Amino acid sequence: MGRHATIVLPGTMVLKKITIKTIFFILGRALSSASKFEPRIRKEVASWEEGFKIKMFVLPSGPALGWEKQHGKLQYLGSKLDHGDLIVNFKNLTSAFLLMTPQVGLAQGFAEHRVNVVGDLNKAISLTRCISILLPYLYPDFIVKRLLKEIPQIKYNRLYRMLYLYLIGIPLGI
Amino acid sequence: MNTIIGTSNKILEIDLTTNSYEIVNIGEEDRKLYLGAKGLGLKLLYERLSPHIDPLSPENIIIFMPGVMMGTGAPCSNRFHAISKSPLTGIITTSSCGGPFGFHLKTAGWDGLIIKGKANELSLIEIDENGPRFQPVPSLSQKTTSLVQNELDLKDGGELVIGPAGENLVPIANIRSGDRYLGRGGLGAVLGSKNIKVILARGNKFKIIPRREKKFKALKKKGLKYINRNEVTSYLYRNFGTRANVIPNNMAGILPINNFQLGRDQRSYLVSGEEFRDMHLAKPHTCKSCAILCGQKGTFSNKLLPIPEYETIALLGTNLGIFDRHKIAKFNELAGDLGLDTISLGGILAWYMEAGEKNIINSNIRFGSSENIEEVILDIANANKMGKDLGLGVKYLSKKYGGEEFAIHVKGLEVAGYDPRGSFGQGLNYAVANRGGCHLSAFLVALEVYFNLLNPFTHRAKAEYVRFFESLTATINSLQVCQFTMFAYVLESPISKYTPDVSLKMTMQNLPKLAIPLIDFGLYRDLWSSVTGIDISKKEFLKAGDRIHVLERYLNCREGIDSTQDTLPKRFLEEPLKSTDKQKSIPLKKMLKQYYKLRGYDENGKPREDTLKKLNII
Amino acid sequence: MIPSYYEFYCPVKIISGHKALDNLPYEMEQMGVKRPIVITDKGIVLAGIIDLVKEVFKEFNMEPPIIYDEVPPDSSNKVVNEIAKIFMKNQCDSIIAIGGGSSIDTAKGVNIVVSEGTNDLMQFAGAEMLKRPLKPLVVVPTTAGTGSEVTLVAVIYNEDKGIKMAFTSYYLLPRIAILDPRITLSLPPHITAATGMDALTHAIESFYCIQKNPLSDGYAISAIRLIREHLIEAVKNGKNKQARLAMANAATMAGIAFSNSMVGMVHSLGHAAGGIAHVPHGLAMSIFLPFGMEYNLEARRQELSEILLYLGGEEEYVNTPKDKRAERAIEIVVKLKEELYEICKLPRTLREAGVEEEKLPEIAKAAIDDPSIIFNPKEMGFDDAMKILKKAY
Repeated sequence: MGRHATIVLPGTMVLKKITIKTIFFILGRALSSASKFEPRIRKEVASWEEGFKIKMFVLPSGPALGWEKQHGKLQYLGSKLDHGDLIVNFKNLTSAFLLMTPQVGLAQGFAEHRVNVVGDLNKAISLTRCISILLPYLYPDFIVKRLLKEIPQIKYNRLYRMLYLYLIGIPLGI
Repeated sequence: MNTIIGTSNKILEIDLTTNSYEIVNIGEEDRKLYLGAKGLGLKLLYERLSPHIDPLSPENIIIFMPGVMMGTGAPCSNRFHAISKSPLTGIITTSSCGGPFGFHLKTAGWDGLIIKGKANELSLIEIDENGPRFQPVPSLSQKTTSLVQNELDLKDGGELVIGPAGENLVPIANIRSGDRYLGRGGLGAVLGSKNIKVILARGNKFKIIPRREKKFKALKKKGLKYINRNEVTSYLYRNFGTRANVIPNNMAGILPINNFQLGRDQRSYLVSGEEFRDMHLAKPHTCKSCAILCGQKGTFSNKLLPIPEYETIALLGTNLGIFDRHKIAKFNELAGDLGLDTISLGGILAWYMEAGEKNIINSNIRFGSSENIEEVILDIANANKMGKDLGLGVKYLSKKYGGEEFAIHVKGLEVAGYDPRGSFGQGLNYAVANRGGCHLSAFLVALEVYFNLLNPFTHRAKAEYVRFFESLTATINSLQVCQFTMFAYVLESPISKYTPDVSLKMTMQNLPKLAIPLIDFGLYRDLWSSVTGIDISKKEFLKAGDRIHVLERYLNCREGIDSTQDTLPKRFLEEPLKSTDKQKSIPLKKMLKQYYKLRGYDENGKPREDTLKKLNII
Repeated sequence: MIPSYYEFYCPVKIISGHKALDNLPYEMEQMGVKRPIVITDKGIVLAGIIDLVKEVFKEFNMEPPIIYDEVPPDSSNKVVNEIAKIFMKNQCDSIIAIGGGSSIDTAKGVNIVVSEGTNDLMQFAGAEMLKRPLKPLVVVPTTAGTGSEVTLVAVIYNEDKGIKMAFTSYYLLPRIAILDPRITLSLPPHITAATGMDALTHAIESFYCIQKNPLSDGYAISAIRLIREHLIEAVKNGKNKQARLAMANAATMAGIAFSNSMVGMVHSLGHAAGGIAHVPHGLAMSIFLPFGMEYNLEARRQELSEILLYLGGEEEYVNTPKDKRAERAIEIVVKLKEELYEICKLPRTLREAGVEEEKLPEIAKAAIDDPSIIFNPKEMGFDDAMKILKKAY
């Protein structure tokens, strides 16, 4: 269950925004990078049409995160995207913060009405699967356990892929 | 049951013209120099085949060789080789197959089978431990391979069968064994030219015992461990077969679409291994003693059919603009029944479609449509109407009708399903592969695209890797085990497993001279030694691979191959690949030059005398 | 256990009871509307229900409403657009939906089109795409199952794309739901059974899915109890008004429960089986329910054990050892299915429902992409879905 930030200090909002921006950046590049080497994510992305745009947005005014499928690959577009074929809106900063820090998993986020989704809901489920597959490459099990209904078993090269993501995939955006 | 310790070293040599046979013994020296299967087969062919003969004449020779691993139960060892002169390319062709024939030949006590001459009428050869028996089978004439298989008593037996295409001497005809094929280079037509419809081996007479059994068991265990922890062998290929290549190839933009005009199509997802597995209730349908399990059967409209391999999907599917799994499975079944190589067939159909589109020829098939394709396939197999010309291959067609700029072949062999414009090393592989447009000679696409260990868009270091993997592959094909074990045996060995990706990539790309000697293929060498009981150093082992590869090249040069044929289709060299952001052309000349030097060839691409001497070929 | 956070919303006025329909004109007047369009299907007309409606309007000295009675069982965007045109032409100001899920969802779709003044319904597909209140909608459910009268969802088939699209918005909730046993009296036994099982599935799934909350639990529990007491009777003896009214109430309560706690894999599989193999929704629910409970057993043992109290009654609950209660609850559902098969041949398996085995992979694929899967307590991948489908075949 999520722990809620209840103390409101001056500057909290700014701090939250910065945190969310940072994590958006990590998530954005990590998913794009992982979609090249992780076969199960690759498969999900393959089923999306070329030019498919995904946007995550914190209401009412950002931060934002965007991906687009270009040349068969999922490209991270930073906050540049103005339109999305699939838009995941976080209803407020706190919700985004809880989901991104990550204290609350995506499924729970949906259940608690913290996000609303605009677009093809089937694609939203596909995206959720991608993120569920990605999480164990980003976080150790004790964190993943809280976020997902079950920890996906990764048999292959988890540690290397974690290192690859943090040392190459995310910093260099490849 | 009798036992064979190590190898029987007995080769059955049949002369069909005289209905006679003799037994050839393999000495330890040849065994050590040529290992077995492909290597030894080439050596036997070299000793017997005169240059410049017509591949479809009685003078041609076809050799079938199970390897030293066959029957031992080593992982993925149920493979055998066929070697002959190809009616499609006019040069040597070698082909590997996982069907049941090899096992039965070997356990009937034979390390190989040589067939010469020509039978008077359509015949069946039955082979057991005592030798061959010949039987005329006029009733099987023009029957499909599966019909013939149904008529044979296959209990304790393994068969080789040709379809109507082989009987009709179509140069892209293959040979079937079980649901597997000796696919490339028209070996079916060679058998057809000898009037042989079926070869049936009755094995299970001998148990094959490795000479160093304890060692062998330990190695087998290690091999299985590697296979079961490698992602390609134990996840991707095990679940999705070679079809697992569809999605990454599409991502990399190297999936052939419409006769290699494009490299990517959104619909390719529909024909991915993932979809074939999920939507057709895939079940394993593999070679004997397989640990990878890439072969699958699936349900198509309530009918259980083999699920097509990646190459078939690419060439008979996406390359024709067809993304319908049912249709591809149907074409695959039809080609198998008629006895046609699906790669060459697909290449030919794609050329025919594009030639029609460009008004070079009157074509009744077009990209994106499955209409009339089955009719054309039947015509090819029956050498009927336009099918007669089509069956002669893309090289012949483009010479006769024009359209060379989109004739996708190398040395007359239609190119397999990887566009080299997105994988330069694979381009060099195609250009210099001994049998022509063959993807398996070095398979650099794995390093360049799948494992991201080499930059696909540079010529640097490619010659080194092509040369190394050609030789390693030659040894693997001479053991013989499945080439896919390479993913596990090489990548899961400690040095590649525990070197972080980044430094592995940097070293491999920039310091090939350092990296290549560190590539650990010891498991193959050890397996071979444990069965034969012959000690061989790693250096000698790899040198045997060099020897096998260069011997094949030498034989080809006798038939007129030189550097002018070491090239790629014009489309690959001159048209940029539309589907990627990278638009460089393949620097083939540069890579070739380095490659010849490494291989010890002269500037015309012919093995130098000192090279041949050093390798004990002459 | 109380969730750390939840939302609950149900603004629908529920009018339940014998001759409740007679209140319809009064309620219309209260809402200040005069020209409703009635959206319904031929079956309802044949059952005499439309005549009844006309009668009550006449008694109240109101103009007879415009009637559209050609909603097909699988309604689509084309039908929605057609009705919207009639709505505009007649300058209607409100909508009365009388029928099962198809008529109600169609009415919701029509409401979007006419309220937003659009001609492209599909641009509002997805969650919370509507930004302002719609025209007043009154729903008279005739099947006692779907719960559409109290849900914020409409599922409409897009003929151009060949897929079903979901619309969810709080504005899609009807203003009034009228539960009148007269309306359901003519429902044939097998449909009564299927829709009853649909309601049971809503109740049970809402009780174990991840968005469950104390309010939805209350509705779910009451619904399960009513279904236990009245479903068999309503199937066996369709003329029993008491049983009919109880089932209508159960369906509405189950609807409120799942509308606020969402449903899981039984619905994912059901939607998929409906979309791919045209298995009617209620029937699909009946087929998959025990398998869904079984699949979630370990993740939700406590909830499933508790369900036994309402599903089996106090005695059953007390007499079953604590660690066997969840299993027992599943057994009771299986037994209920058998019983319904005995009474009215309600298919128990996909095979009995006429699904071709070759369709299973497609159903599995659609099921794992169905939005409801996210609320299921346990992950369900393709292979899991295939296993369940094979069991249910």
